[in-house]
Amino acid sequence: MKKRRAAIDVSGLPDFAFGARALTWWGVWGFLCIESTMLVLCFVSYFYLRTRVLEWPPAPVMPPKIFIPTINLVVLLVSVIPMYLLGQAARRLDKRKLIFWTIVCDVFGLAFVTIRAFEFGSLNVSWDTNAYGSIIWTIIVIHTFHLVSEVIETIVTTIILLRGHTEPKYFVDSTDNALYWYFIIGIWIPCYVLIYLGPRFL
Amino acid sequence: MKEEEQGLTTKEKDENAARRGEQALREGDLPEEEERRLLEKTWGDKPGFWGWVTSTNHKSIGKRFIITAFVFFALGGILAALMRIQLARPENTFLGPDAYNQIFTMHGTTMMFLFAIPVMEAFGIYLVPLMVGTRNVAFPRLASFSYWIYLFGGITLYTFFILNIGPDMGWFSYVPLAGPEFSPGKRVDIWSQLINFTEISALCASIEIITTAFKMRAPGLSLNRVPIFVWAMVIMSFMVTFAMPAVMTSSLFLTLDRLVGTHFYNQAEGGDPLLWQHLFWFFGHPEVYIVFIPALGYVSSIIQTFSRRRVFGYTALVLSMIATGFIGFGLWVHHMFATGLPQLGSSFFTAASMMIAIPSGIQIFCWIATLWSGRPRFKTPLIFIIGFFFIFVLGGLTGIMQASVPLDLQVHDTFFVVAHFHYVLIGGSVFPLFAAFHYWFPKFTGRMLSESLGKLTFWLMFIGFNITFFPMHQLGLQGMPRRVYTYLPQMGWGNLNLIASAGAFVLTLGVLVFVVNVLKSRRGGAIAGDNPWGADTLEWGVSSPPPSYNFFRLPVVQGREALWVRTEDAPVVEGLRTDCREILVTKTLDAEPDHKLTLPHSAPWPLMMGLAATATFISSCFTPWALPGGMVLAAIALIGWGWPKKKDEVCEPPPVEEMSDEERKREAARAQ
Amino acid sequence: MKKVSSEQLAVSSERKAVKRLCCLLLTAHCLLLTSGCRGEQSVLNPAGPQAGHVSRLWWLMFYVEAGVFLLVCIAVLLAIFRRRRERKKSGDEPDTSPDPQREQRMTRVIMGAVGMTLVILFVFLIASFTTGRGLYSPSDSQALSIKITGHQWWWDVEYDAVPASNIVHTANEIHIPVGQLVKFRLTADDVIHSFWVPNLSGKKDLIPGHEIILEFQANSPGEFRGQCAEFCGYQHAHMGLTIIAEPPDKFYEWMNGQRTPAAQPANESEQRGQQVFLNSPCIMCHTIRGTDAGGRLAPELTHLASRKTIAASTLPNTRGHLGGWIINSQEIKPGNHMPPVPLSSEELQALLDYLGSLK
Repeated sequence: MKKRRAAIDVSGLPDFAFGARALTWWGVWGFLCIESTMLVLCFVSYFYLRTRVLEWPPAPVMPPKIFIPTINLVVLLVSVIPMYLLGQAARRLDKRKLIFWTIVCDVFGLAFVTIRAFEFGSLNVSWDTNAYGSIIWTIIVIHTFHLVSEVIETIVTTIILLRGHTEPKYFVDSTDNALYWYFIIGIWIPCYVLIYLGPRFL
Repeated sequence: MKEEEQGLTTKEKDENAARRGEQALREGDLPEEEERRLLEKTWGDKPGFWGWVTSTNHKSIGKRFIITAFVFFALGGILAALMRIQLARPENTFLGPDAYNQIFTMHGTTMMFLFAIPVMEAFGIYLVPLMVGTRNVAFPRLASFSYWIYLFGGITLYTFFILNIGPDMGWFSYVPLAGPEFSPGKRVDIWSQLINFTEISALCASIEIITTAFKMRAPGLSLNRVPIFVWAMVIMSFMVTFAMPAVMTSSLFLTLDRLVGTHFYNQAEGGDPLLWQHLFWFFGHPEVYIVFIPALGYVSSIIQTFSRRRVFGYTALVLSMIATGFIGFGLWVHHMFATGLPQLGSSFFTAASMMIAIPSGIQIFCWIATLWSGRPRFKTPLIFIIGFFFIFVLGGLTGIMQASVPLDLQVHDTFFVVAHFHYVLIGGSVFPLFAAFHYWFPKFTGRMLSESLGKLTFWLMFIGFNITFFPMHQLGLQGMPRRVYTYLPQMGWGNLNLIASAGAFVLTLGVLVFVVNVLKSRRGGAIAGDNPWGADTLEWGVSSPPPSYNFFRLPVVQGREALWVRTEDAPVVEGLRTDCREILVTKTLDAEPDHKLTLPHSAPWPLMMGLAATATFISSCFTPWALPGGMVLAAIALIGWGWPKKKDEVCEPPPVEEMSDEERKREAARAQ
Repeated sequence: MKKVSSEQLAVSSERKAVKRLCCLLLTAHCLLLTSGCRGEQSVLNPAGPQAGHVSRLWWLMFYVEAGVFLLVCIAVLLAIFRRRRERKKSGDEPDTSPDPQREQRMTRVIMGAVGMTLVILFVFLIASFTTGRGLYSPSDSQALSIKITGHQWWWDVEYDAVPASNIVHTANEIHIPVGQLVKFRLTADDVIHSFWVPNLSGKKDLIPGHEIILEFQANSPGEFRGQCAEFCGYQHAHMGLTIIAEPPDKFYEWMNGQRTPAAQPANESEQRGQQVFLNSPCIMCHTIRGTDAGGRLAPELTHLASRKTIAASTLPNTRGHLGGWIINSQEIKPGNHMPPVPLSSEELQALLDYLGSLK
């Protein structure tokens, strides 16, 4: 067995890759499936609880105010743009642009987290008033938890990028972060519809 | 490491890193003996207790998972023995209602959450990287975290139980009994938190397994060549990903109802007790298939090896497992037939619950065909599989009975159901699991288990099991409901209960014989060698136990039964680094080499995150401030986890600051 | 040589075990057929058409599935044992390219088996559907309607009637007329319970906030015991109920008796007993119509002496058992919501005299 065996030489392969080629992309998608399932089940519970009462929201609760939440929705949707450009810069291994767009996203993130703090006041109901209050508070708190984690993650990424030597791995991490960002914004749309429009139409 | 002692500036360190890239040691650079030693050092755990705690080697993690799961199995078994002692005679006073209620709840919770899922995940974590031809799982620190959070959850639950504040409302915890009004105190809360501990553990493990199985297979291991065991683990992992969030959601609602006064399950304020049932059983039914499908993987592997032929109907077997996984999500309402749901809706679930027998049946037929046309060899693993056939099929048949709404309305919540699910769970999961223990023990430890003790284990377990659970079918039909701490003497249930309790004693003896076998054989068993069974999957092509690096050279797979079709001049993979934990990432469908990746070294952060999560979950029983507090702790642990570390940077490709523009463009293009 | 004999041993002990298993199953079958049939509270001893339909479905599925099980067992055993010596001789080399013709033959056999499985499942589906249809006969608005409210750990029973003064209110023991469909309206006040009288019908749950309808009838007179079948806390095990099916004239006689207020005390001892009752914590939870006791948290006691059991069909309704229950029910049903009632011996005897007069 000392004779040399035929071999596939992999030493020349790249040391990192973006998108579906990367292990971390699969990891993030797995996490997104889990969180989506949890929120979708909350949506299902929302509709189920709707069928248990005559009015929605049940009297004497008023529907939530819509002004501040809509502003926040717009900020969230617009933030997709700098995040997309961040992703593009990361894929080009363009460090300067990446840091720039990451800082822009940090600003957006701090903005929508701050506005979210005021959004709670628009709900017009407490979580312990009735089941309607319970479900809309739970949906918005779960989402806020994700929102805050994502903003923290983006800020930590910014700090890491500012260190001075940036291995390609952190560019890949930035694109994974973008994926999580899109998820949080995307999943907010049905949340927004159910929390703020639902009580007006259902 | 030398640089840290010298205190170099960043610039000088970077220059060294660039130079190091050219001096990286790769496969083929050193003579074999020296290279093996280097690989062992690179992939092995650091010495001592701290090295053990911070291990990110999938085999170390898998082994400790299996041992811990088995300890919980024993604890759950002791709880069952206590129940059987109480029920042996009518109006027995061995256990009062409070003790009995805690014990049957702990028994169910232990077996379902602390034994069944973790042990299946554990076999996956240990064997999947070996079977797909790679050196570790995709996210080694996540695997470590998965173990710690599981261990801490189990310890927390049992601590509460020993302090007499264990959960006492049944393992599926129906509201309003489990709600704030009828279960004051913290008993239900610790159960609810246990869900968080164990579900997070399982979810992390399933992401691990899916990613490893799809992206880290050795070249040549295209999807149509993937061993059925790996398919089973992948299907189970997908099911975990979509089923576990349901129980997390339901237990979140329960915790909120109890802790901060929400009204999800309070019908007086618009909530509904049935919401709990829907959410729980949407998890609960797939859960039993989650526990069952890996066992199907064991059955296929063992039947293939011991029939000395490739398993019959590979495609049918894989598609059947996938079908079972999908259909399993469409059955949950059959747990709720007595709750007044509309007839039409219930009929759908009757049909689906009967339909799921078809893929199971297909598998049984394929296995029988394999045995029929093969040359079966009677070793303990195969004997346990034969036991599986008898017990599981009987359980499946009583399952079809319960799919019928009118019949279910008579036997639901009686000992008939208890008999049914023990037949399918013990027959369908535990017997294959014991087969798997006996089959893979030589690979894990390098020693063979005793064949005679193995056969004795089987007979005691098989006979004991049937004596315990068969009479329960009759008890249910004779009107004995489940979860009763005692019963009136005039009901006439005394004799069958006594027989069942006697059987439990025999079953326990069987498990004890197994423990004796393991303890004796660990040091004194016959040396196993690489492939004592003449099996075909890749783990049997390396030493027993495998070296820390699994394969000296990653194989190139030439067929479905990898070792059986491997030619003498089969090619191998060369060129990976031996001084860093470098692995090969391949393409999803056809496993063509795609790129290389460095996995992290051992780390304490998974343990830290485990402790942070534990502190959060336990305090969540007492105050809602645990959540923001927990977020802070978790943030610290996760930032530590993800923060760049010098010792890992040695193995990374050079930073972009050191690349020329052209190099940067080229590398970016290659990475898209 | 050693290997061969241990394998032979395995084979012969396999055969013995198989024989043992068959014996076990046969015995079990006989047990089922015999003791199941005489069983009180038994699914297989139907006393009404609803339970009867289900019992027939059970036997259909049982025999067909027993046959299937037997076939599978035989197939597994044959697969292992057939032509053993011959197959062992052909060596250990794994077969990675099996004979395609044999594989095709086996495929055809398996397709046949799958086809048979489909047919059997389809037959079961139809049988189940037909049985279910047989249970849900169109509701007769004249049918006797009884509202059952589940409590921890007793059953509140109210016979619906118009006007309200005709309502009969009792607990734990339900009388129904033979041969007449009865509609039960099931709900609960606290946690989920389940109403199950196996001789007469399958079960339905009692869920707070929901009303679930269960309809069945008894075709022969008798006493049928039932039990709560959804875990509801400490004394779930002792939450039984009794249904007494009697000829219609006897039933209406009973109903009329139940409508009357409580019997007045007829002698000094009963008078004293009534005093003891009205001065004790009893009145916080129990009702005796015709007195000031109007508690709604515990079983109605107006006609306590007419019932065959107490403590939700746990104890026979005798003086001794009732006395023990009153003094310290926690010893009989630990955790139940009735506190011990400290009474002197003289007070207890008087109370028992009074309660014994409440027919």
